[in-house]
Amino acid sequence: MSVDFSSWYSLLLGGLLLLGLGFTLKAVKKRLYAHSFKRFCLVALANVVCVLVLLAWLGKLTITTQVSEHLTLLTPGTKGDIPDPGVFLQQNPGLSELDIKGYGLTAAQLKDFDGIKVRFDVPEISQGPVEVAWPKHLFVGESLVVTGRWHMRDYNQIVTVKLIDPAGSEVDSARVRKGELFRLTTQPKAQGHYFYQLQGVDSNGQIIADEPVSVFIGQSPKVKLLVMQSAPSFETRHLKNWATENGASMLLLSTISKERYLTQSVNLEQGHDKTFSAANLNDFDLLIVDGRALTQLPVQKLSLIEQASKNGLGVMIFASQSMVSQLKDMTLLNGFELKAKGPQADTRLNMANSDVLFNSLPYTLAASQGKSFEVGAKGQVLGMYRALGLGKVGVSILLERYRWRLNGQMQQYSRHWQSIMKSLARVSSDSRFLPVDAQLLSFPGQQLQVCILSDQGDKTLFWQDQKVALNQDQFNRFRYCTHVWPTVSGAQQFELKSAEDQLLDRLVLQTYAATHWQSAFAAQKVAAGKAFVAGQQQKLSGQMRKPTLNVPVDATWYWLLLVLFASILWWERKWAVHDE
Amino acid sequence: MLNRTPAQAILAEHLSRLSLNFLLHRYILLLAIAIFFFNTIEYVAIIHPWLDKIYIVVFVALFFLANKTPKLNEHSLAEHLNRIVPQFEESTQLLFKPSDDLSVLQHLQYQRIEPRLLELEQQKALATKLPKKNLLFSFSALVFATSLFYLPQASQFNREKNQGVILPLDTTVAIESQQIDVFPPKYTALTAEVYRNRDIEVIEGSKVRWSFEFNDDSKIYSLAFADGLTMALQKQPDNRYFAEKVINKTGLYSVVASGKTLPEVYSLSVIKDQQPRVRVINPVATLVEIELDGDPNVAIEAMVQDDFGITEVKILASVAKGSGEAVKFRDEEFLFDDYQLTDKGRLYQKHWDLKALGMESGDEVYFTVIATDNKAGQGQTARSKTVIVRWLDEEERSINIEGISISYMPEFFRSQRQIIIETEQLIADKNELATPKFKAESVSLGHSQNDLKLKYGQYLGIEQDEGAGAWGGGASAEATEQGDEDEHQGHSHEHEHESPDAHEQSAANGSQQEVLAQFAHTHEDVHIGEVSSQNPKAMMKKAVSNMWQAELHLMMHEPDLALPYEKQAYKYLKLAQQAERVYVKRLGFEPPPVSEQRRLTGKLDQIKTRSETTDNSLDAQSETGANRIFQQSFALLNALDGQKGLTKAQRNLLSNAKSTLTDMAQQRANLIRHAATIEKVLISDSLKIDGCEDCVVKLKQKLWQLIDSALATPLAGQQPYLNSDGLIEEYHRLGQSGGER
Repeated sequence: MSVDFSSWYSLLLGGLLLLGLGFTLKAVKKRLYAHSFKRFCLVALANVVCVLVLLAWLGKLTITTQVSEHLTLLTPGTKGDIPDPGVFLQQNPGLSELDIKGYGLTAAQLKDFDGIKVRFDVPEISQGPVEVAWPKHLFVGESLVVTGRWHMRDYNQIVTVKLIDPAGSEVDSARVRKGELFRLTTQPKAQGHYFYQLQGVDSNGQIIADEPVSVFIGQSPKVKLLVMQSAPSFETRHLKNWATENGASMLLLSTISKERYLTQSVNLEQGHDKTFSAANLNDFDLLIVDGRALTQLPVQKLSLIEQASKNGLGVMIFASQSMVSQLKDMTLLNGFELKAKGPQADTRLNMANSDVLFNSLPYTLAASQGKSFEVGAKGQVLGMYRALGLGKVGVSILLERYRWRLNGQMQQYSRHWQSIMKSLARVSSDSRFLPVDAQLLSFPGQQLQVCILSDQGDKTLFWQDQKVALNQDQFNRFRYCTHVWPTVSGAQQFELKSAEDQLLDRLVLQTYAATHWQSAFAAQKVAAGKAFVAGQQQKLSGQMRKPTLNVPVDATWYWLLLVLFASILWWERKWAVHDE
Repeated sequence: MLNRTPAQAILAEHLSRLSLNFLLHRYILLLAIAIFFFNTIEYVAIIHPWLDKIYIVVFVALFFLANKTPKLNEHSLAEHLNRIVPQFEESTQLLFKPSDDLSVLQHLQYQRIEPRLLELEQQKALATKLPKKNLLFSFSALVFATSLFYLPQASQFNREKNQGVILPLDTTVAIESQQIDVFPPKYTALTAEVYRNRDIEVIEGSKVRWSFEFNDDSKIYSLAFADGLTMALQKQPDNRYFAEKVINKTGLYSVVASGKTLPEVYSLSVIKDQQPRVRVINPVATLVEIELDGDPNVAIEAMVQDDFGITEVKILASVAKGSGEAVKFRDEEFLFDDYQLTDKGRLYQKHWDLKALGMESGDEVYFTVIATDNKAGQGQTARSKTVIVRWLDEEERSINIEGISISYMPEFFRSQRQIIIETEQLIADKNELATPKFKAESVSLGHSQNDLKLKYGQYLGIEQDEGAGAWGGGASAEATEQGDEDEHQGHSHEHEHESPDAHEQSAANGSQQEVLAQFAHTHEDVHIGEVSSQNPKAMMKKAVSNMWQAELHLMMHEPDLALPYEKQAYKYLKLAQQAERVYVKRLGFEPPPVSEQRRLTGKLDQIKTRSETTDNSLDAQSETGANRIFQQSFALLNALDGQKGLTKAQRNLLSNAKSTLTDMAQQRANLIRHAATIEKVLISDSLKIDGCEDCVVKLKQKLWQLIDSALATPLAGQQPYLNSDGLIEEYHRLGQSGGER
């Protein structure tokens, strides 16, 4: 039960009524209290009831009652008039049971229906790509991998799924049956926001689906490399040329003779420390060291590297023969194992996606709880890494990666080193956008979540040149998120700026028109609906929502009560006259 | 006639001669001025319609000014002589006066200087000629002015840089009718063509004549070309406007009416005269060996094709006699005996007797066929591959093959890569090329692939005989047949490759490599097994097998199907190349590794610890210019998408892209369409072009094709947390303490 005295006149009138009641009761007491207490009580009660009735009428008294409303919601996939789910819920507050027809609602929308008993008849999804996923944000050199399944009615039907580049050329394709997974890969050419197309072609050559695949290729954050080597090598020379030409900073410490060293710093700021020190190790992102240089280091320096790795430094070690015998003496390499191969073992191999032949050390590499970061075309493990504190230590038996360069295959060379750095280098401390859900398909009117990572909360996020609020994550204090609701399809531009208005990172996401990705979006909603229904079935009945409603009291009752008690008062006065 | 004194007669004669010199000098100078104005007045007229009138006024003024030089008379001659002959004591004027008019004193002076004049005249010391430098100047001016006649299109063109400038549009003027006559160069023997469309495609060097009729005759019209040149349209009595130009470059043009551009842009594609294509049909192999007792006669057949005609085909031969340091070369040129006309071109034939060339066993002749076409000016020349005919000595037979095969390999690799590049280009241009041209290009690539395949065939010692027939006629059909054949062979090679007993089978084939392998693989190198697993010959056979398939598809005008095979062929060639390198390397000297005790033990006085600091980061500007322009233009077109109104920076960027495409169109004429699209975008100031809905889409596609793939860049770890995060630190701390326990 509740009343509403929010309007000024109801408040004023209510106050006057209560004031009048006070005076009235005083007069009644004076008149009746000594004469007849029963009569006094009756009159006082009648007055109070009349005032209360008037107050209830003024305050629009409502009574909360439990309701049970069973409705049907039509969603895309049906032929009826489709209401907006949010408005639908507002319009039907007494909703307790809901039948959802059509493809249903997204997981975010279904959250609003928590506690309502939902029945969801799974409809047949139209033919097209489903469970489609691809990274929405890449760096130059990273591959765009589009995965998914092709939904169709007939299992025997075969569809050729093609990935078409922005120029309209096919870059990859796969032939799939119903429900089979496809995986299409390409290499975006340059920075920027690009549209690829995912096409399905049936056996007659007809295009049965053509969906845009939006991807934003951003600029990679700078990396700082420290190289220690027992002698200058072609490997590090080629690495230096590529890395520093592409923005990396590098410090190379090379032994050129006995107790003679060559220190080369490239792209480092003036006055940067060029010695092997703890501070320097903590400043660089990746230490690249050959096995012989590592074994020649004194114990103190080894422990410095170990500590720096625990603090986050990545360490990449080119294994050498001399390192093998001392492997167990170095705690930095705990967990790694190098076993000599037989004399006939193959040490020449192809790397994946390459026709260049490489040499490797005649050892088999293993690491407990390690992961591989360099693998040959036949699955040979050539490089493995293990976590050490916050950092990673990797060992590689692959030799002469620069053969790619010598063969003019700069793409493969640069991608290989990029993947090594991505696996091993220190986690970037730059403020940046966090990866977006690979399955995200944004549509107008749908919520779009974007998160950033920043060590300070003074960063500002702009969406389409408008500043938007960032909310700090309660578990990860460096994670901030925002939610926006694009109203029209098109590119959604996000810019992360520092307090000094300097651009730190950019992200472009695409909001697709409703005509795009219909099957994939329908499948997402169907999956969300199924998960929601399954979740409900596990809930106890007590957890289900019991909706109540504030029903305004019928004015007739006010009138009857008022008439009744006013009549009592009238009669009491009459009786008084009669008594007198 | 008056009675003249001898002195007066001499002076009159000098005066007459000098006057003639003066007149000649002035005439040459005025002629030079007139020619200069004549040659330049049309340039001026193009800048502004009224400027040519002012120019004429300036010319007339200058003409009169140049004409108004001091007159030559007795007085000026006397002054001149006074100045240059001191002996006349400033009294030359007296010599012109009649003796009756002279005073006594003047008479005395007259008598003093008259003998001096006579004496100087006798000595021919009177310098009364004009200085030579004056005449030289006049002649130079005349030569310069006359040379302006020979400037290219000098009478009609003016260079005006207008890139990125918003030209005012004139939408009131309409072209009511037009006729464009194209006159191909005479040497092509093609007839003139009449174009109704203003986008024209012409043979290089064609003369194009535009004739327009406009709805407004009060304006001055010109044609503006994309490279900044403008050409006035001359008004004819019938109110048509006319201009003509010899076209040598692919470009764009539009019509300008009194300084305002009409909204349409038209393309002018130039079809280059192709170089002759020369192929030696017979001998098929690059290397022909004639046994010591073999027939020393060689039949040479060469197929020569050209788009317009051949003027000369000859054989350039070098005969090498002797061996080692005593080898001597002799170059000679030969003509073919005869030729036949075939569907594919002219088939030239020559019967060559090596003995008639003065050769003996042990000698070699290297020959190449050179063909020159009939292109005007200077014909284009093309050469065939070089064929080596070796008349063997008994003992050298087995030595040469290995060395030659290795030395030729790099050339093959380049060619295969070139075929791949050109195939990709052809696929990219598929939509823009006319079907016959596309097919012709594809077949042309097929021929190149065939060439390469045959080279390998002879290197491998297989399939040497099939090639000639394939090219000579019915290429596609035979290619298919042979492709199947080779596929079988390819399979058999694979079996051979996989067999553990490869050496035995290889030796049975009789290839030199296997023979060598039998005897050379006896040392105890542990890596010999790997060498056989990367058998270069097997790799090359696979490469050839793929070349067959590539050629088949190219001949059937399916370059997109051919491309994977071309790439496979290239891949196997690379593998073969590497395998060959390894083979050589493993046989060489491998020093034992230097021990730590021996290493770094030399004198170190001269070796210093040193430090270098460099800045090696490439800025955006250093990236390839065209690539950067295409990237930025693609991004701009993507971002604009329907937006109207370009900023100045955007216009500049698109203008640069247009210029770059126009430059590239000199080699790939179809790119000019995309340059035209950019020009239309610039004119309409929007991505929406009337009457060409998909032009911008096609432009974007082309730009994407032209963008080079960027290299991957160094990258830091991208995990979704920061190391300074409390939770991560805690996790780290727990991990450490756990580890310690």
